[in-house]
Amino acid sequence: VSRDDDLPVDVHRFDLDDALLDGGLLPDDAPSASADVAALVQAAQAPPSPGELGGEDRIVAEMAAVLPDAAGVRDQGRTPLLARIARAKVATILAASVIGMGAAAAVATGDRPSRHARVIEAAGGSPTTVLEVTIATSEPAASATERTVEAAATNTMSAAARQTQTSAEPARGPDASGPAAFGLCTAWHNDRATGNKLNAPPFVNLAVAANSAGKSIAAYCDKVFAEHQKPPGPGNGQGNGNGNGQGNGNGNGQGNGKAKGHGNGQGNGRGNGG
Amino acid sequence: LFRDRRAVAARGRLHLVAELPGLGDFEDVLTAAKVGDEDALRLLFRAYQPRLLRFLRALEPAAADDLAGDVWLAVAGGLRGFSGDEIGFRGWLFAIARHRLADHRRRAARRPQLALPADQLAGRASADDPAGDAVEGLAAQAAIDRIVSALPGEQAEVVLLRVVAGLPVDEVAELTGRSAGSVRVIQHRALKRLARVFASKVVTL
Repeated sequence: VSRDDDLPVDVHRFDLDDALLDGGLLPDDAPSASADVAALVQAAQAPPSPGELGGEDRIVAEMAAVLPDAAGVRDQGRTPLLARIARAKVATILAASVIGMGAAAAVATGDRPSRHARVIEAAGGSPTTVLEVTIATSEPAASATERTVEAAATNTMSAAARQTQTSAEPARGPDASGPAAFGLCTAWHNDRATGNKLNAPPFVNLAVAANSAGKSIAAYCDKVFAEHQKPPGPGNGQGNGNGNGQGNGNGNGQGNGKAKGHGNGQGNGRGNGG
Repeated sequence: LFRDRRAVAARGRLHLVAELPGLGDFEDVLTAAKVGDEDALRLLFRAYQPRLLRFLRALEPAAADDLAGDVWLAVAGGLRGFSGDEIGFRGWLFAIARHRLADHRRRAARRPQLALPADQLAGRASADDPAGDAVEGLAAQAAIDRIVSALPGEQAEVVLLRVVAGLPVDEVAELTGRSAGSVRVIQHRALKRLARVFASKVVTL
């Protein structure tokens, strides 16, 4: 135990201590007994020297390699034309999904649980329930496509992040952490099945939301789907999918296929031709 | 003697960021870095690497550069799961550094010829008389080495985290598993010791 350790602590000096250690107290301003310490702290906090930034390129490259899909993100995210094309693709996909709402599709699944998907109009994020479908997925194909899609989405997010540093343009597209999440996930899965790349703002938002939740897009969407499949209450074991069986009328989306234990895509389709 | 404590503390925090041209809004940089944006990663590296290196060089000079590389890789690995502000990021960064340092020392304990145990830090430097030369004109690392060499391990670590890492008392307390009051007592005793050791030296930085 040193001699200093035996000294009583003067609590009134704590503020002075903080000022010294934060580097906010210059030697000339410090009490004479602390001037040397202030000088040491100032020296210790001196601006970086070039030698302290050695290896920057290597370490940054290694970090980028660790982070998912960094290389693909950069190349695509800096091409506005590609982003515009992809945005048009997404709009087309969403429109096609809505148009196809006349059929309440039931697709048999393989060895992987099916996912109920509800298309929600992306614009404005307001839910417009029009269709319930069951999507069968194949694990290997899904994984490969997933990587591509996530790369494209995160790529655009990177570009968007850079843009926020130079402009105050508000984010576009629906909030993927809100009610639009289910629709975005549905579209994401639909597009994944076709192998298209999704790097439009809605999917950037989806990527951001997934990232904020610390999940991949697939894991995030699984969670979203799971939440939408929770049973409304005990004893409600069947779901009804109402669609337009004639294909030329208005489909009234009254689907209630969320009950646990409900078979895949086995809802009761009722024609409502107009 | 000095101005409002909060203003002083704010100056201390800004000091670190001010060294980094182009860092801009930390949240934007962090968001971009999370998706592998190399520009953002480069900004983070330039912002924190010098202080990280000074911290590690003070405690484990022979392995500091390699340890710093390991720390950044660990940062990249956990970046997507990180949420917090600039102070929080700094605390996280130096928490990783402490863990890497501890791992390194555990390994070194099995190969004692490769590294100095932490408890010998003061002894190693004090043999060279930390106050042997005037403080004037000291380079950053030399100043840090003087500080560390004059203090026992516990005090040295707290002072390093406060001065070099630029962490506030609360953050140091969380990092070291102590109460804020305990950290204040330790730093106070460290400063008294430093004042005594270096009192006879002329300082004209």
